Amino acid sequence: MRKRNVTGSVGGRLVVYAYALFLIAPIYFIIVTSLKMAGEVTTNPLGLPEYPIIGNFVEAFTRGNIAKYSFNSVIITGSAVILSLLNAIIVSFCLHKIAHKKIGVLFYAIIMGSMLIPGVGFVTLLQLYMKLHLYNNLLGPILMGATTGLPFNVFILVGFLRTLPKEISEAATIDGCNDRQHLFLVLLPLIKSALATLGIFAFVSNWNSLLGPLILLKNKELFTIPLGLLDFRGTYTVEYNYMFAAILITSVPLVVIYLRFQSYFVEALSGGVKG
Amino acid sequence: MQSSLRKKLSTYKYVLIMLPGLIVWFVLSIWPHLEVFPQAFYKWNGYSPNKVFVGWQNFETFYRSSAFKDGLLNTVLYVLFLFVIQTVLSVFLAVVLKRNTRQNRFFRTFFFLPLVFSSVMVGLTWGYMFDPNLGMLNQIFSALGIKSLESFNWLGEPVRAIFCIVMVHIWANIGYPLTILTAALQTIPEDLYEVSEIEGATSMQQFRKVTLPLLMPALLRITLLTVVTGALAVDYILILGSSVGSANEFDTWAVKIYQGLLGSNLGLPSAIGVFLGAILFIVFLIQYVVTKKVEDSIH
Amino acid sequence: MTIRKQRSKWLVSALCFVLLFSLAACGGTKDETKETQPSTGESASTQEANTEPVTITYSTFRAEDEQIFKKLIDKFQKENPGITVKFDTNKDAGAYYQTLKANIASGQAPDVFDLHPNTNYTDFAKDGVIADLSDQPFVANYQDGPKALTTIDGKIYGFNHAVNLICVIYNKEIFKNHNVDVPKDWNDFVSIVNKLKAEGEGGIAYAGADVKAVWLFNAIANELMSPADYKAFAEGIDNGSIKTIRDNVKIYTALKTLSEYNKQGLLYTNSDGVKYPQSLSLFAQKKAPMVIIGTWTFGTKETDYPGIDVGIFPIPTLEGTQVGYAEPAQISVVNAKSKHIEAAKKWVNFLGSPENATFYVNNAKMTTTVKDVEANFSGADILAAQMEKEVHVFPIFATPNMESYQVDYEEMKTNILFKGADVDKEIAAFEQLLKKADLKNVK
Repeated sequence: MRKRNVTGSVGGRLVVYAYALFLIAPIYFIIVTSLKMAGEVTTNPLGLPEYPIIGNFVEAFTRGNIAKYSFNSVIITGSAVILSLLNAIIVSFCLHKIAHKKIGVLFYAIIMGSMLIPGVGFVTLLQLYMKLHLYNNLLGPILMGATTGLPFNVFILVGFLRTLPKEISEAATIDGCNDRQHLFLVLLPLIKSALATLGIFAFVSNWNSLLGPLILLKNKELFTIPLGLLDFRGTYTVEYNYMFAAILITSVPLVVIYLRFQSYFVEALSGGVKG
Repeated sequence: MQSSLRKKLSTYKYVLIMLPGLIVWFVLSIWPHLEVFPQAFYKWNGYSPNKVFVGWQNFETFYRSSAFKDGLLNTVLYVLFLFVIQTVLSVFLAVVLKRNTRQNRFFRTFFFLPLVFSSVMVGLTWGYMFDPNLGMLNQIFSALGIKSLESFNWLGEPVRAIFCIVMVHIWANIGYPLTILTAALQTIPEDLYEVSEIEGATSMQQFRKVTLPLLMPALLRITLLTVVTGALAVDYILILGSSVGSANEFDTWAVKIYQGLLGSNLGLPSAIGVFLGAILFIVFLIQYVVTKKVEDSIH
Repeated sequence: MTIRKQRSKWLVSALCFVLLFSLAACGGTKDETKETQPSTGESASTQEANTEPVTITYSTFRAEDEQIFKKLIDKFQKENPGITVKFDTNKDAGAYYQTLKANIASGQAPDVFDLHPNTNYTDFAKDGVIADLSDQPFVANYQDGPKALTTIDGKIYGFNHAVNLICVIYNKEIFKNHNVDVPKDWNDFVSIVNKLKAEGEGGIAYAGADVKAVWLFNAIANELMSPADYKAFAEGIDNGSIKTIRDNVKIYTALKTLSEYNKQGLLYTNSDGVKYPQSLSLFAQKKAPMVIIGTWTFGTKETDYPGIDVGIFPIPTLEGTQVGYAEPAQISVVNAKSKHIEAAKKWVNFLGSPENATFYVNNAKMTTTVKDVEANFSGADILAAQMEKEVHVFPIFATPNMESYQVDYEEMKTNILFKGADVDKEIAAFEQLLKKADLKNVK
């Protein structure tokens, strides 16, 4: 039993609890608002609802078309994440292999890609996507989501690959592995935690992505959840109660996924590294 | 020699393998946005066939306006606050919550939760927190009897406002660095801690001699990410600021770019974008040099 | 997992995605084929609507009117069997304009779309993006004020559905309790506010965090000058022909009025930090007896200030409280390059006819711009009473060089209103900037 380390200290726990309080205040507000009548949101924004209206959730679900939008979100986000990770794995692996050569500077060129300011290019982007038949169908946001995260993913993965001991790769080469086996059999299990982490990040950022699908999707049937949430904004007045109810409904799957995948990225690396 | 030829070929083999993925990425995600460089030298409203070449005029206009100095200061403040507070907080929380107990897992999930809310939503909610008269923060103060802070105008002064907005940013996004650091902490072998215990190290010393150096690579990576994220962050400032697109006292350069995109001259936000990109490039170079030094010292 | 299982896992997932992609891609192309219908362009005669079915898109940012427009669309489609109207709303104003401009640039713009009455309207008109509607039937029913507003170089390019007054909305009950009435002039106004504050009520709620000094300045300046003069001033600053503000008596008075709002403490505490929903909350919770906001709130009364009996009066200026200020609501325009331009024009005419305009304003609860419209929603009488008196509507003008000075211009007004800055000093500083910017010689 460790007695005097940071993980058990009282000060440490206090900070955690304080931060948890900081975290919960807005969430309390979201939950409380989602149960109110529209007028009460204005007259009593912070208090508990006078008559909690569970019907808000039903209204949000139907008017917000949540079933359909969730379906689109899941397809777009799921595909984007898988493609994104696949691409990141391949690119990172190759970059790692050529890191010592001159052409390894390609890595830095990719990273710099993340510093471009999006926004000005939207007209060109729209025209480009239209020419490639990626406009107003699910493929557009999927590919856009799959490519946007590349610099970040490569950045993390290459860094991770660098920390792996060279002995494993050398042992694999001696055993006569070709590259594909090397990547999939040897390295993949080792970087599982990094992949799970990147996967969660990619999922969350794609799920919440607004501007891309907004520009690329015209057909309301194809909208994702963030686009659907805009339905509750008027020109001046926002229908907070329905919007927050919709948000609570749509956050549930994300929390479930995070819980499910947490085990992957916090488990200590087993066997391979030490042995 | 045959072996050097084979080595050369194998290098290009790898380049070829990643090429398709890279090309798709470049075409779909980079190429349209490269537009920002030539656009800075033109005056264009975004749709008319009428593009006027104006040379450096956009850059000069921006440099001359108060938005240049104020925006730069705000950007620096935002990045500084974000970097310092988020890094310290996430390292601290990651270390405290290191062990895999059920309680720790609960807290980690809980702290990750705000990531699932879109930034628009986060901003709208925190608007209700910060309101000087009816906001939750001030209600708490008045309930606690602190009269002087009852009507505190959180966003009324630029430095204070940026601090608050950065806290909102951290509230929403700490899941990212927290998760990365938690995973990184897992890679530090337990025996190192055991050895230092035997040698009589206190927890503070353990942290400084064992944890910190081995976390350094991950931390450096997070640093670059934090700086770029902070420099490019617009969502929270826009939602907590003016809703009709007016300039706020606490706007960063990135926000000015976004506001400029809705105006009648896309050249101006492009010029700001070029300025910003140049500064980020310099930061990137610095980070590269530092990381190389640190990594070499570890291996 | 064995290699084989891993491989088959990849295979299965790859197959799934191929399937999904082809489904998604098919979904896209189906939409495209619908739009490549034989188009006859602008030379089409009205017979086009009868011979082949046509679909036009109407895009607006007025999400709250969705139900109203659904009913109007149903009626229109019954009266025009060959035409289907697809209704499209994009609520976030920033995103709305970004997508709109991108769509215009790539030839994808909707057939009919709405604009805020800002510079886009003028720019689109001058660039030939929107069609000239001067010869359309609805113009005959157009009131003179809105007609003048939407006329650029003698031509009318859009139908402005309604106008909203931006004024002081007050709580009748609180006024009665303190025995005060609608102010007759500036001094009366200041004494009323001070009396209410002395007796425990708050100041005037104002969404300073969202609108800064813009609403207040625009209202005051336009109440003091005629719209034509204001337009001339704004355009003069923009093209560099006007370099001094000090010499424009009305604008100087407007800035002085802002300064008085600050010095007399007329606004609620910390108004520069109050956002739109919270300004309504203050009024709804009876903490503020008055709120400076638009009469579009009549349409969302149940959310914005439930249960409060309200009255309105114009935003007081140093020169009085008699002239009102209105902002136009959305303007519907027709895409000049629309493939079904005749059908599009029909839709706009439909909206502009007295019968349908009546339906619209009675449900959206705004003041109409069309002649012979009977408004009977609750609050209509209040609006009508004000519209009978003098009301100035914010003019539409183009400011191509706005980005060179706008931030500093707004900062000057904000400093005067919220920071109590000295009017003369701020004006001098701004005029310095104008001189340096040399707007006459900007390309």
